[in-house]
Order: sequence, then C-alpha cells, then structure tokens
Amino acid sequence: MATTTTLRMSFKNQTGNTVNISLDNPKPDLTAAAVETAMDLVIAKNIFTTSGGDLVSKYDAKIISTETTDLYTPPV
Amino acid sequence: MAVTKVPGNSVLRLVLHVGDSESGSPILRSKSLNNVKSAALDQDIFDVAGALAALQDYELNGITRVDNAALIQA
Repeated sequence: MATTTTLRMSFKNQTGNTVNISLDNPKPDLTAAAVETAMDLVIAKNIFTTSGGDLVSKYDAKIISTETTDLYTPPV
Repeated sequence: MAVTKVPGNSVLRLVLHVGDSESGSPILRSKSLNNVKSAALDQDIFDVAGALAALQDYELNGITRVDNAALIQA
C-alpha cells in the first residue's frame, strides 16, 4: 500500500473561476502560514495568466493523500 | 515578406531531485507550470519558483524558463 500526498493550492482568477496549482510530495511539516505566504507571492508576482485573466485571490489550499493498493502486477 | 515573432506563453519548469538510483545517479523529475506570461520578469519567475519549491520535500535542482513564440508572415 503506497500513499502519495499532493498539495493543491486554489486561486480565483479575474472572472471568478478557480485555478489550481498542484505540487507533489509537500514537506511533512508544512504550515498553513508557509502555504499562504507562497500563495500571496504567486499573486503578488502575477506571472501566471489563465483564460479568465490573472490570478487575483487565494481560494483554498489542501493536502490530499491518496492511498493506492496494488492488487495485481503483471509478471515480468 | 517579413516574418514577425509573436511571443506566446512561457513555461516554468522546476527540476526536482526526487532520489537516487541504485547505481547512485540522481533521479530528476520536472514539474511544469504552464501559462506563464511571456512578459514576466526572470526575477519574478525565479522568486515564485523558489517559493513553490520550498513547499516540497524534494530538493530543487534547477529552474528552467521555456519561452515560446509563433512565427507569422506579415
């Protein structure tokens, strides 16, 4: 059984649509403040564009764990 | 008939060191973030890349900026 974790940061763009930036394998000791700081920087630097304009605000941030159970592996 | 170069969106690529192979050579994986403005400053991209990489457990091996442009004959 293998577990993978993903950090998903959601932003709102100018038209109000949600845009996600996902990163694999976040640090286990990640704090909410650290994630918020990074998200604020992404908005402040404004280097990303979307079909709905620039990213304007933070919307959500989660760490998602996915547990995978391998039931069958073909013989090599 | 001059050809003009029209910049398209750039790509920010984080090169991450995810581990070492059995023979000891590093395993690198890249994480691409599309839709980076072509007009974005290198410094800004670098700063964002550093901030995002700091959230990950992987070690940052390098930051690549991939610029795209369309060639159009006027």
